[in-house]
Amino acid sequence: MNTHWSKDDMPPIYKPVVWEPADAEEAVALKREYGADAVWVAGGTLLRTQWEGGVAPMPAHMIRLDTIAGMRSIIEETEYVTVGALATLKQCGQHAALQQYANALYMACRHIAAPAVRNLATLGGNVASAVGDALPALLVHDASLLWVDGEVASLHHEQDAVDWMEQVRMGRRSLQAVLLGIRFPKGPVEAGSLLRSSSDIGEETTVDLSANAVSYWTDEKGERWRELCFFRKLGRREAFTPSLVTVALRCWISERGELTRVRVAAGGGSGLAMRLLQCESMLEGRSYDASWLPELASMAAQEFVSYSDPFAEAPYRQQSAGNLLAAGVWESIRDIEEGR
Amino acid sequence: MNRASMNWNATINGKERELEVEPSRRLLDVLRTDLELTGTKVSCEIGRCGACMVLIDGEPVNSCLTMAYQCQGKDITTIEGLHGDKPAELHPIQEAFLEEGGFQCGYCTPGMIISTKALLDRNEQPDEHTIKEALCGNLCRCTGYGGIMRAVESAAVKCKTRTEEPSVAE
Repeated sequence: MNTHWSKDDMPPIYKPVVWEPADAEEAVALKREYGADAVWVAGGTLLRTQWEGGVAPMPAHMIRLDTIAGMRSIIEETEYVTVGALATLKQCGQHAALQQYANALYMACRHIAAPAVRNLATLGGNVASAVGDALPALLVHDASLLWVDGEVASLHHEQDAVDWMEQVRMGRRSLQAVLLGIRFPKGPVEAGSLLRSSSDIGEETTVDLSANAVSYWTDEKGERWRELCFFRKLGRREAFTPSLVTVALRCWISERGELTRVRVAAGGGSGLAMRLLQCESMLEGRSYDASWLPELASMAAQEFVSYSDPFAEAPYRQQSAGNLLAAGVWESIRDIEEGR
Repeated sequence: MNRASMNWNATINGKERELEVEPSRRLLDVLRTDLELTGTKVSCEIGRCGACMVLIDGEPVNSCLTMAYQCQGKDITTIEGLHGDKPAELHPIQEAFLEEGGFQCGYCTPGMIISTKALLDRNEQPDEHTIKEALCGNLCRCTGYGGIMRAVESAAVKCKTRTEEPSVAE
């Protein structure tokens, strides 16, 4: 739909009042005051497509989140990396700390939308949409979400991303909660185990899907474990396409080939991302053998709850998720064996 | 604090501009309707096609997705802001698109050229994969992309050559 409203004849619905809260508490108070007539706006890229597509009406009140200080920062602390909800996808796909400690997210952010959209779109917006392609990556990195929530007495609270996804699935998501940030535990990664230096992260360098950072961890028995982590996206064309299916996997593999701390997740399209707990149980403690990859693919296809739309039937998405996971494990192990 | 309208200002193609606009007004509309810079094209309006691409502080951005308040005070370059050594001359990227047949109907071309400018400003010798990634948000329904790929490769050579050439004054 082309719109060519002049400044003076735009109908009222296209003239929302734009609020500029100084902090998250004020943003929550504004939402409470105006309810369904107000929306929080981060990068606004998804909202704009919804307004233009008629999926949602343009609201009477927009509440900017970019006026709140500190929302764009990515901060590395001793045990965590915390990403401000308004950090852009471009920032996240270039950040050395995320490359090392949240590699599936780092890779996801390099494959969502096109470069120009990633300059505007934010990680918080992707997450808060509940159907963003970053969500499977959050689930495999044990991420938590930092909220200011008008429905919680203490206002500020931290919530496991898995729990929040479950709330969304049950229709119990708080409508008074503004996302401040996403926190990733660093886990047992040894300092200095990142093999690719920060200088390798070029401005527009396109990283091959197998070009992960490499992290190591040595357990109390002296056995060395290497991180195996990937994100895969299947769309309707090669690049800049809405996803049909996304999968992410993170685990640690010993020198003997044993897997531990396994996390597997799938999502994509307008479906809700989920951890695949049966697949995780199947892999936990198991030694890698290519012969069990078909079993992994089959189990993932059975466990993944998906949906049908005019572009793809649910069984297609489920089978694709299984195949992406099995192929991802196979490729990652191959890369390790070939010294990559 | 809230605004139903704002005194919006930005530097557009090197020139300071000031307007009274609704803060949620799309940059696309500010450019085309308010400032009559119609080289920036309107097409899908949902950030898919790239016809409305502009540079904001040197970064490519879909102007259909950008609201006025999001680019307040920024440096914005549209297709009208590109030229060669003299204002009446074509930019090397524009030359390359002409010479290599990088367009047919021409509707996507301003966006293609802006995305190419953003790419070559950061990477003067992009490989094929990097070009495809940089232009993946720009759709063309005429050319099949062959001419566009050739144009970007040729533009890279032209831009690099001009950078390396000593100026007349030297």
